[in-house]
Amino acid sequence: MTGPVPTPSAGPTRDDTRRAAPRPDVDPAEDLEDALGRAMRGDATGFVTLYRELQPRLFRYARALVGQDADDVTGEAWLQIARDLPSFFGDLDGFRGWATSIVRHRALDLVKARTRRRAEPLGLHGIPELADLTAAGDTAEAAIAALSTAQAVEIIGSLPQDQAEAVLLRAVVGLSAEAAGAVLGKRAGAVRVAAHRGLKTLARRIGRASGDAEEQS
Amino acid sequence: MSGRPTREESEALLDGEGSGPLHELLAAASGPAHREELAGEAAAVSAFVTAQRVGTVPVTAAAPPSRAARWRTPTGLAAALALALGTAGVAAGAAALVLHDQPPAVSVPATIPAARPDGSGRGSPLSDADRVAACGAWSTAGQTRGGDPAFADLISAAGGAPNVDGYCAAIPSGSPSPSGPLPEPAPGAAQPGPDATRTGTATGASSRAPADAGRGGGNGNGGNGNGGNGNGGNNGGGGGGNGSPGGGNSGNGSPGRAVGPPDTPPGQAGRDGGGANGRAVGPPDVPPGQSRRGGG
Repeated sequence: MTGPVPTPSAGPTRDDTRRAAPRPDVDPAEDLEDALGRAMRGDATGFVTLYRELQPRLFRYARALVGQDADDVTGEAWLQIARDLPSFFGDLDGFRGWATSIVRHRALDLVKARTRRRAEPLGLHGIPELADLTAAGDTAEAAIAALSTAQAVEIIGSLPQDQAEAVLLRAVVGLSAEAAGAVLGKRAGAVRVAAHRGLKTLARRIGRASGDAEEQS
Repeated sequence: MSGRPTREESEALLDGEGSGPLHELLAAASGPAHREELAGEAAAVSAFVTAQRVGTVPVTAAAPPSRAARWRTPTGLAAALALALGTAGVAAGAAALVLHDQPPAVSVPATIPAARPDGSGRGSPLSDADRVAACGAWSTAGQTRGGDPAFADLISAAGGAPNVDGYCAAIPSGSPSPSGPLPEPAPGAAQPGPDATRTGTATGASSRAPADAGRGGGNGNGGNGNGGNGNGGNNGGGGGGNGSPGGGNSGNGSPGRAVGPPDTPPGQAGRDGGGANGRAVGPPDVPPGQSRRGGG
């Protein structure tokens, strides 16, 4: 499992596309579409490009669903993606949605299994409170600007699940409301409403945290 | 913007636009990749390479006799028929089915099936099992079957489209002999269940059972639309291809439906209860895996 990335000889490969960050002069979307095409033809470099683009997003989504087990969930999901890619048919957006669905199913399977073992709430524990983050006397704005990715994901993940998922699928995974709806088994409108509510909730918390910070200072 | 966003502002924020604390928060959440997030890359790539390799197993690899016989049973034939007729409402997600339903402008079908390793692609004999499967599908396929890539192997084995009927009529009644022992597949993996839904693909896939099984409960994931291609079980190819791992009972007795266990499909669109049809639910470019569970 630790060998170098194999590069099958299927077709010409462009070295630059092997890196996650495409060159500035290459349209990222086009580059990824190209990577998807190559992966579908069996080219591992295309697959790697897709992985590097999508995995961090999927990981963060999974994190909000299953917490610490996010890497297991995404790991399993990618095994399935790798195996089923030859039967995949669609474009990049379709691929994003498909991959996200797989992650979600894996995550929910895990949650189900956990629930069978013992009652354990879904999602994250030890959610950082915005108020805590601003306790040092920073303004909420400054505190938020300094948030790490993980903290930001945790804060979003602390929303009610439907809101958290809607926000993460839209803003982090990068799905449209329609695609997110397909993943969640909802209408696009319901996704928009949930995401909007989630952002309003976050805004309210930020406002409260700001107020706290002002009181303290 | 501070304070609560309007709906429009929310949409903009979700698209990465806007400014203010919420924008900062979302931007932080979608920041650049961290190394630990990519820790599974080697495993994923390895799985990809394995899947590709598996996909290049020749479709002519023989299947045990019993499989061929299944095609002659009424149930097997019915399953073949159901699959071949394209039970769109039920198994719309089946990859091969979608492939063949797509307008010709979409060129993906040609790229999806694994390349024939021998490179010949002409006149290769089909195993009896594949031949029976392909002929079953052929007999129920529509006018355009002559140009259907799924029948390419059948046609080439028969020496041309006009000869296919004769070729199919001449199927020997004896059992084909496997070219080698079939290694033990994992329980419930690619091993067929009772007659019910042995599809063309499953026949093809079963020859790849060792690899699939090795991946833990892997099903006859026809990994590759390849089965469909080679043996003409075109729609069956999709069903197998989408059989989702995890439970992987590729012979689970529900003809026409993709064979994966219902709770772990790769796709999802069907669950959109609002979807008007089994197929076009979700984004316009829903991949086949996503429109499974069309019954939603």
